Amino acid sequence: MAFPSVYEMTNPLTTVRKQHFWEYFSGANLPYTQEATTDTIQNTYNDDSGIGGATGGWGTRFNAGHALVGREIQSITVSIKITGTLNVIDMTARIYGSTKATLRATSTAISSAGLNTSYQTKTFTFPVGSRGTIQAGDHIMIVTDSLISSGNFQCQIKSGGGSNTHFTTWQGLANSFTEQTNRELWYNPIVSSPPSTSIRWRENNIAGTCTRGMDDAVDGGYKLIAPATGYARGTIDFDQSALDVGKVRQFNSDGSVNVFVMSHTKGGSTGARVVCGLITGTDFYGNGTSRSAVVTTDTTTKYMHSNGSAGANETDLTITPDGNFHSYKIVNTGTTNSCSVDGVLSGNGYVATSTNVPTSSKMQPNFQVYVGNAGSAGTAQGNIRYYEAYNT
Amino acid sequence: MTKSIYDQLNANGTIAKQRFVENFSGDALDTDRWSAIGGGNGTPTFAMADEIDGGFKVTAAAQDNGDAGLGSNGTWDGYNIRHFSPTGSVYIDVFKNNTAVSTAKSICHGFGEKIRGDSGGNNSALFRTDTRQTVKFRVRICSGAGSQANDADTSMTADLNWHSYKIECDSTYKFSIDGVLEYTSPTTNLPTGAMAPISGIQGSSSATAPSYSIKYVECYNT
Repeated sequence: MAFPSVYEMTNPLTTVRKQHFWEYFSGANLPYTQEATTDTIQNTYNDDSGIGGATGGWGTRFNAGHALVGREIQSITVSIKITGTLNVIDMTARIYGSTKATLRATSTAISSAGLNTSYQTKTFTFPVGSRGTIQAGDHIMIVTDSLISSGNFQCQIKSGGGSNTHFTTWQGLANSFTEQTNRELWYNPIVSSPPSTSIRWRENNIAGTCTRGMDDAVDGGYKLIAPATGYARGTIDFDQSALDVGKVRQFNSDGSVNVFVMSHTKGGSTGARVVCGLITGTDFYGNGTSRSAVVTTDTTTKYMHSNGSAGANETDLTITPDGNFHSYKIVNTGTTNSCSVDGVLSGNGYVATSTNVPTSSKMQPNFQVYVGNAGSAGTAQGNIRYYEAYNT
Repeated sequence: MTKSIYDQLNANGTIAKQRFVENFSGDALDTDRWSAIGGGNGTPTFAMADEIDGGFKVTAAAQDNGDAGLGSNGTWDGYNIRHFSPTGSVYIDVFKNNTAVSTAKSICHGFGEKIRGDSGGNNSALFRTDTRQTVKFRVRICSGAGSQANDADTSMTADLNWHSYKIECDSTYKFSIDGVLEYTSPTTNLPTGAMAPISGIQGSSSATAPSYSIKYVECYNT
């Protein structure tokens, strides 16, 4: 039987549908805002510079007061030529902090093959989801990791520093940047916009910087990797901005259902936890307050539940995580909540409890990967490929 | 056996037509899909509601003709991206007025060729309230030539609760609330051009900023 509408797949029209959300985690990225762009240009030159016989590159620094500070970089177009017989190298544009120690973003690569001995423009693009926002003192550098064994790759510059910006070179990746405050790089243009933000889901790093994005793997969904640093963790949730500000909590602790498909990759930190469910706060291991979620550790799977500021209970589902995807379903009633794994309704893989379950609360979805207190032993990875929540 | 969403919505051998589904969940409106704009009268606000079952809230300024709306056109006077047929389509939403009928000349939702807060223009089929007429939920059809001959009350007194609304566009237009058929149009003075989901407000001189909330929209061609 075919349903006439998605509405009538889940509700008769005589029932006023309640909040119902689902996400398949497919496509290139989570949806992002698309902000209007601005071109920033420095198109005068009277000299050139470059590197040879080394790794590294050249670029430009932006100090406080420059118009690009606070803006997200989408692309940079520079003027490049080679001298001599340059071996084939790949170059990328990279956004670094005030030193090489902080790498914020890397563009797609451009090969030196095809470059010639007269200047030509090349545009380095930062894809959606791989962009960085310029902070005071940051650099945009055109860099090669390969040793330039013969020849040079060069850029056009002008003498005299710019207003809150100047030319920078990097001769050898083992060395520090060389700030050349009396010169300025030619670029036409640097395309920037206000920082884009993900729509629907907020991608949040609670501690440490997580690696995240759609997984290029069959049935991979969205992956979230917490770094190998003690207590590092990150989430996706419905917050609108900073921690505990602007939450959108539309699901009812006293009548809602959560269904999701996630995996916990084994082999990283033994303290790792992958958690998914509903929460009134933003952090299952911090300001969680009321929670109703599944947590997988390295050895067990548990139903995590708490009401208000009381600590969380973790009721064992008696399922040993195997690194594979599984389906989870949580039914929240405000009195007795149930949690099942892979559709099991009794025995191992199922619990029902009325102890310390959330009541009288509005809650938001949250998927979290936590490296645990043994984080230095390795990273932690969780993947999610389906999430659904609805009020009953 | 896993069934596809396609198979649950289309009989075997049927080629799916255009369909649009919006849940109004998450931290922000998907502005790649929706335009949330005003017509220049006052400053509207748009926000996901931090409420259980809150959906998305649209509020116009508390002033005469204060306007705000949702659609798929980038400017108030532009045309929407119109995928839905005037002679074979369905519109479903879950919608509520947040403020009394007296706060707005019009709060409307349904199909339209442009975002309109005033329920006017050409080619639209709308549920609406109107402080200048009655306190009922009303229906209005704007024909391809702008006729508003099909303009009527439903049986329901307007309230501030969520309801499900359905508009079936065919050789006649049928309007249902909460699964109950409220109005069937004649075969004349109907839209002739393609339409898109829209909703909007045109304010009155009330001191209360008029607003509505919407938590589901589905449209499909039949």
